[in-house]
Amino acid sequence: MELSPGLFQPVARQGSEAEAIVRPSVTYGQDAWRRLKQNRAAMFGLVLIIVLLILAAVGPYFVPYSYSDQDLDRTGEGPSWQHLLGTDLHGRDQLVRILYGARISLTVGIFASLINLTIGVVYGGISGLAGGKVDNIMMRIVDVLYSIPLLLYVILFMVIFQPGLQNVLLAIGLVYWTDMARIVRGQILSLREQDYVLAARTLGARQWRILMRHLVPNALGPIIVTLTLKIPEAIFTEAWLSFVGLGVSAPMASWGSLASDALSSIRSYPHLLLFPALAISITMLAFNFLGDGLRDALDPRQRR
Amino acid sequence: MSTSAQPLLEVRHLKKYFAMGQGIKFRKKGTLKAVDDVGFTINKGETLGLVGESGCGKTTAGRTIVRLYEPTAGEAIFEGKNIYSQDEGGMQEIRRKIQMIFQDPYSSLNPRMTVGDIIGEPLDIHGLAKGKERTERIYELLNIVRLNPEHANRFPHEFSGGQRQRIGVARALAVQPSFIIADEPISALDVSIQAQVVNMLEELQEKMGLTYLFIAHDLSMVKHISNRVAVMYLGKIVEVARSSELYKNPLHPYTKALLSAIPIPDPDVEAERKRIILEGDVPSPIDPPAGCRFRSRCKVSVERCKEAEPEFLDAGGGHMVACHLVK
Repeated sequence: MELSPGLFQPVARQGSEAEAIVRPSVTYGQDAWRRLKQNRAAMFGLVLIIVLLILAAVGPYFVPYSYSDQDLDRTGEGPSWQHLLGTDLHGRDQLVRILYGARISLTVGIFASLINLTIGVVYGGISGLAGGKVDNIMMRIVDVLYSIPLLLYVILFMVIFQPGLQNVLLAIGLVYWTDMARIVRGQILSLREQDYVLAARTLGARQWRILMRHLVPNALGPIIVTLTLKIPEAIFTEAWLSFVGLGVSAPMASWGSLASDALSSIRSYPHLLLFPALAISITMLAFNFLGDGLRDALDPRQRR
Repeated sequence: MSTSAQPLLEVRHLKKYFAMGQGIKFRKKGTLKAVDDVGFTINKGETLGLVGESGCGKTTAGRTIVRLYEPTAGEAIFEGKNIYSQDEGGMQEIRRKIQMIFQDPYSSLNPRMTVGDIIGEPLDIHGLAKGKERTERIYELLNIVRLNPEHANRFPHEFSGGQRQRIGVARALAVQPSFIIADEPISALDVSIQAQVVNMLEELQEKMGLTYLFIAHDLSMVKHISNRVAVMYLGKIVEVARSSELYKNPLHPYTKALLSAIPIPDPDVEAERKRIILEGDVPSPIDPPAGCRFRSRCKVSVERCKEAEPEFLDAGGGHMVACHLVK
């Protein structure tokens, strides 16, 4: 083959053509979603959570009994076509009581975690951004809080205030933020040395702006993961509190109080304990699966 | 490029020390003298190149000028006002006039913000433009750095290194500054892209009357863009001269060694070229050698270098050097 200089002419290119980006715009969220979809356990968890939410919201309307209706001919019965999950010792339908319990458990789980999130992000954010002595003092306070099992604070809170849904929610929300604060602070400490934060500083951005526009959005991955893993923790704590009688009070039923009531008759009516316990386990599992999946999906190092 | 002798920035006796091993940990204590008594002047419309090895304090010097770090001592007079004695309001004014371009185009743009928001942030902070005006200004800035307006909705990770660096330039230009500190703006870029960015910086300087402090370690690039060059070693400036003068007639032994390291793009000349190879590493800035700081690696050091620190003196025609051996 003959090579001539004519073969080596550069291709004429327009300036703006060279700058064009051909790849479709993929945002961070789309990218994470794509990775999450590939994780079967996480998708299983997500579907379960959605089903649970729907059941808790509309489920009770499809059961022809209210949570306090008694069918005195059928006390303590096993599952049947009239009562899919059987009845308790007072003849109340077990299914509808578990569905109402789901409302309480999910409410506590989600709202308590949101309180955790708010306190944790603000506390950890200030601590990490301030650094130095302020950071040292704020984190030692967290260490002191953390040195005693957090459940003790919740019990103390519940003993002082009246048991009830609202107080359970507040108690868990106001106590369990320490993990979130630590994680946010750690993220902020490493992110605040990034050049884009320095650039914002040279532009004269205020601390609050730097925290909310630059630091927290970049720490969002670990924050979401922690949030997802905090929800089952709060659900379990509520169940535990109700189980020992410090949680929601009768006639409201939470999974914990259902399990607690069933305990006295565990030998004769094991199914009364089985179903609330199953509900707690499945929910915890679903949130943990989703949390683990999100951890992988949101990790920027996995980005391809 | 006209260099009227009107100083825009005058740095005097600038010092930035970092305390080591603070707190409750029992570590070796000491002071890291990153910038130790540095002084220079930059005239309106000119470019001062600041060169030196890694860790010699050039980045710290640049960051201390914009008060990313609070100085230990010294002053920086910008347009007649001392930057370090400004209150929050006065500082905000100065921040509008001094901007920075960063070394790493991958970490200097917030990955969670669109390019439009990144360039628009200075406008928001200083309340310069809102709504439609803001959008138009962003398009205009993108145009100045030769990017398309459609790029405003994209995220930084979708751009190449050179494009990202130009986004950084657009962000710096948004507040219409008069002085830009370019902290190794090209050292993270591909060689083919370096010229593109440098040429753009030169063009912008001409169009907008900008003044640059160009921090770099690539001497040939610095020669190309700078009017004057300052050479830094271990926290101190050892030589300042007009760039043609410095490259033709280096006086300080350190400058000579640096210049001898520039490769020449001609194989015959390159084969003949003699390099001055510096031995050893840069001494620790925590405990620098007494007397002249360069003496531990200097081939021509004499007894006097151990005893006294050389003064920074004019060797004729504004060629300043700090060496005992220069008459």
